Formats: sequence, structure tokens, C-alpha cells
Amino acid sequence: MDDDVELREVSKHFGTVVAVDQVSLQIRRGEFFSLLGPSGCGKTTTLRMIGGLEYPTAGDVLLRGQVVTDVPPYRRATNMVFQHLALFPHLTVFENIAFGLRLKRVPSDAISRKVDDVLQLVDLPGYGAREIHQLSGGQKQRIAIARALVNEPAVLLLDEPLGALDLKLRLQMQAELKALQHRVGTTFIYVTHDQGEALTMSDRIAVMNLGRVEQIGTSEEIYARPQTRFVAAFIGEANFLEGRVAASSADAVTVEVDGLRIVASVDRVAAGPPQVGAAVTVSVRPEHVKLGAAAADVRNRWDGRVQDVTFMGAVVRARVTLGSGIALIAEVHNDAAAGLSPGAPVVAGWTPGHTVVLAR
Amino acid sequence: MTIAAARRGSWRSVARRYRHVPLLAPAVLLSMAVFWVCMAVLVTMSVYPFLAAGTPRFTWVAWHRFLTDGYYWSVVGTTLNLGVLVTGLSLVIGYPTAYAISKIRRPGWALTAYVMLFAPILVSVVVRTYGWMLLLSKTGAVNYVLRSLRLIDEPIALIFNTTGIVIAMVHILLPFMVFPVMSVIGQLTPDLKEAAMDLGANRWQTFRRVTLPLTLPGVVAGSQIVFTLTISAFVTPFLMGGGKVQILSGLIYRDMEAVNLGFASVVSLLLLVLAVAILVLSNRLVRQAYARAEVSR
Repeated sequence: MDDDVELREVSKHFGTVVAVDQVSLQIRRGEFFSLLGPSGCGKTTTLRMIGGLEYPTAGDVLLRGQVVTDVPPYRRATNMVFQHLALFPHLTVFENIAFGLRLKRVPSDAISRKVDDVLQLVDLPGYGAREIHQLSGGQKQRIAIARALVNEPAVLLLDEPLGALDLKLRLQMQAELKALQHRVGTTFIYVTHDQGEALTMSDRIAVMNLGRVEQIGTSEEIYARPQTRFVAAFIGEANFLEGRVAASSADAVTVEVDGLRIVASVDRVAAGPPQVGAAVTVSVRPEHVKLGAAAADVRNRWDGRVQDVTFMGAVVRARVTLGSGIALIAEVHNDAAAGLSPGAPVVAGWTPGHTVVLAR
Repeated sequence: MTIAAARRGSWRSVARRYRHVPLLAPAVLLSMAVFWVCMAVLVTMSVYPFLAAGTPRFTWVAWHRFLTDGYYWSVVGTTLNLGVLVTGLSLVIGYPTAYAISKIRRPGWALTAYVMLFAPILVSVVVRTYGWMLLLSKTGAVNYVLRSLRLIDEPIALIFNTTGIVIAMVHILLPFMVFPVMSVIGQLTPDLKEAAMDLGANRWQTFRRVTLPLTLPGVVAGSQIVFTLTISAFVTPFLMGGGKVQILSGLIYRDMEAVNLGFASVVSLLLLVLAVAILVLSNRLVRQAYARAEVSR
């Protein structure tokens, strides 16, 4: 498959601060690719290096197979939707969108047609004559996307473009962006710190931390098979149990944690079958911990005691202590939470398929 | 709510709406006393000159003399020419200066730049003008350096002409250009320039299409201040011109010395009319420039 963007061991240092540390990525043509991580993880800097707004300290940026590391932003086939949108306040909606086309000396009748088309695309037909300050937040958002898309970039770069919107509008724009990407088929690279946003929109996600890529994969892969403790903790929630590998076979790995022997399917072991005796971390998501009757036939199952119960609407969170003193958080659907009360004995368990083993 | 209570309530809201009015009083009183009253006196004096004989009599003589004599129109021309030269040069020097200062990251260096630029304001205009006379005279430092470098053979005349007035005026008024421009440049966020570059604009196009239009209000404000201060300036043109360059403020001084109050009033009023006309005209030009840009879309 063709790669639209490739990063080869790209690093960026600001003084003594290493913002991006030897990042290598391949982003396929037509893909919705997200860079996900906490603030300061280097995701925006990585995006800006792809767009040419930041010059890498080391490494190379390739666009459609060409090294573009030294190509200035105004000659790159990328366009960016900025975090604060950066719409030109002195120009109308039409002139904002036409900005790039005018610089390319597109004939004016073609400009009018393209601007009209792209306004149609972002669902704001007839808005050309408006001033920027007359638009709502969501409308500005769409104009910023239109201004970038009208140039037909090889790659559209989006730097947390939905950050300033309220939750409801954000969810709506997420769905629209995804649909838009589907229609135009352009490669989107999307920077966000919101794991929900990344999971729902992306074809693939690169999870970044401290300037490095921790894991690249589809939403499902990243959620179900995190490769590192950081990924497991950042995407969703997880219970972490520290232990040692007690046994390893062709299809399962047994980890001993405080006397409990936890069995994990071998495909959930991050770094391949580990050596017996190796120190590992077992990660189990709260929603995979079953309580009471539901835990009757799972393989990893122990007697425990409910510490406390928190009602959260659709789900109920319970803190459970297993026999040897291991504390777990379980999240169960509220109709399965009937018998849970603080101090009550309860059986807690989860399947080997939900047991992720991470190298320590 | 009873009618009385409603009335009381509306009274209170009226009182609240106008409670800041007393804050305006000192400024309004000063402006009334010092400006509008004086203006009224000027207008009166321009048509009621006090004759040596005693009783004032209505006459258009001063106005007639000014408006029909070609010499006075040439003085108006010289004054406007000086205003344009000083404003243009201040802009050419001041804009890049403002731009550079707004780019200084280190607070210490920024402060140094501010002090260097604005400290001269603390020194009297008279002192600074005499300083320029020392520098620019035939035996002054500038001519000395130019001659030592063999760039010129004979000392060139840098004072007692328009050149000298322009040099000194640009120096004195530069902060008034730099400051408004700097304040609008400071409001520009870097992402607007980045957006322009991302959309295909090189540095010059980014400046031309984004930075310049967005800083235009500062340019207009600075130019208006410098222009009006130049055409009404007296000390610097008087000293640097050495009586060889006559401008409107010089006429006023001459006629006041000659106790020709009627004529001095006419020139004063004309100077005011010029300043107002230029302000109105420049505002209209800017608005038209924006409107034209709208139409061309």
C-alpha cells in the first residue's frame, strides 16, 4: 500500500528539551491517522514537522515518497487546521477559503466554483459573504477545514481542532469530520489528547508519550492489546498487578501475583512469550472484571470482599479486595450489581482473553 | 409592584446608567475651557481685530489677505510637504523598528529597546533640537565624518533648510509612530502567519496579505499623530529652519510678535482645519481601501 507520509527517526529538540525523540511512522494513503497522547508528549510538534512549520533536529520527513525535510511549508502538499483555527479576521469567509487558491493564481471563476463547492461540502452554502466574527464556533471550525481542504492537499493536518468546542458540538463535529474524510478520501492526520475522540474516529492511532511513539495500531488493537503500561493506562482504565511469570505454554502464560496464579491467553502477552521468572505487569480493565454469578465460569476467579460501591448511572463501580489483599476496580452493568454492598463477600474474576501481560 | 415603586426603580436604574458621568467632568471642563472657548475667541478675533483706536469692528480683512495672497498658500504647501515627508520617513523607519521590537523574546532586551526608543521623549524638544544643530552644522560631527571618509569635499547644508527640519522631526516623532504600530503587531498571533505560509504564501506574500492589513490600523493611527504633530510643530522647524523655511506655525509666531492678532487667528484656524481635514480624509481613505478590497472579492 502507498504511504502518504513517512517519518524516519525524526527528532526535535528545543534547547535541552527533547520534544520528539526518534519517531518513525508510516501513514497510508486515505487513512484517518491519529496522534494521541497527553499534553507535552510531542504530538503537535510531530504534526508541525510534517507540515513544515517546525524543522526537525534530526531525521527525515517524506511526503508521497519524496524527502521534504527542507521544503518550506508554502511549498508542501499539506494543509493544516490550526488549534485556534487562525482564520484571517480581516477577510470574509470567501476570501479566507480563496486565500490559497489566489496564491496559486487559479482563475477567478474557478476560485468561485471551488469555494462554493467546498462550502457545500462543509454544509455552509451561501456563507461566502459573511465576516469571520459573525460565525459561531462550529461554523468557524468548518470554515477552517474548508480553507485547508479547498487546496486539495495530499495530507490534511488537524491540530486538536475540536478542543474549543463544547461537548455536544464536539461529538457532532467528530461524526461530521469522519464522514467528510470518507467522502473526500484525503489522508487525515489528527492530533488529540482525547482518547475517546481518537478511538471513534481513527483508522489507526499512534499513542505518544514523552516524545516517543509507544504503540501504533487500530483502535481495537490499542484498546484490547496495549503493548505498554502507559498505553493501557492512557486508553481507558486498567487494574495493574505486579507479578512474575510462573509458567509459559504454547497457548497460555501463568503469572503469579501475591500467591494468585493468573492465566493469560498467549496472544495478550505484549512482548511475546516471556521467560519463566520474568517480572511482568498484568493489566485488566475494570469492565472485564466480573462479579458474583457472572464470574462463576471464568478461569481467573477468586473470593473477595466488596470495599465500596459507586453508582455511576449505566454502570456501577466496585472496589474489591481479593483474598491476599489485592485491590481491584470492577465496573459492572447496574442490573448485575444487585447484591453488592460494602463488606459483602463476592466472587471476582476475568477470562484469560482479558488478561494483558506487559513487560516490566 | 406599585407605580411609585416602579418609578423609584427606574430612577435607580437611570442613576446607575449615568453614575460614571461625573468621572468625565474634569476632562469635559478642561476641554470646554481650554479648547472650545479658546476656539470661539479665535474665531471672534479673526473678524474683530482690536484696533489701536479702541472699539473692535467687524472686518474680513485678515481672511481676505490670507486667502488671496499666493505667498500664504505656498506656506500652506511647505507645511503639508513637511508633514508628508516626516510622516513617510517615520513610517519607513518606524514600522520595521516596531516589528523588530515586538519580536524580542528576552524581557531584558525588550526593556533596553523601549528605553532606547522612548527615553528621548524625556528630554526637552529644545535641547534635542540644539543637539541636532550641533551634529548637523557645517562644522558638526556628521559633516566631519563625511569629509574624513572623503565622501564629500565641501560640507553639505544639513541645517537651516527642509532637510534639517525633517531629520530632527523624524527623530523627535519616531516614538509616536513606533508605539501604535507596535501595539497592533503585538496583538497578532503567530498562527495567522503560519496559516498563511501553510496555504502557500511566502514571507513577502504573508506580510503583504496578512501582517500589513492587520497592522494597518496602527499605521494609520501613528501616521495621523505624526502628521498632525508635524504640521503644528514650532520649536524644531523654527530652530532647524533658521528662518529660511516658513511654515504655518512660524506665521502665527510672527504675527503674534507683530501684535497682528486677527491674522494670527486666521492662520491658527486654518492649521486646525488642515489637521481635521487630514484626519477625516485619511480615515475615509482607509475605509475605502477596505471597501474596495470587499468589492474585488
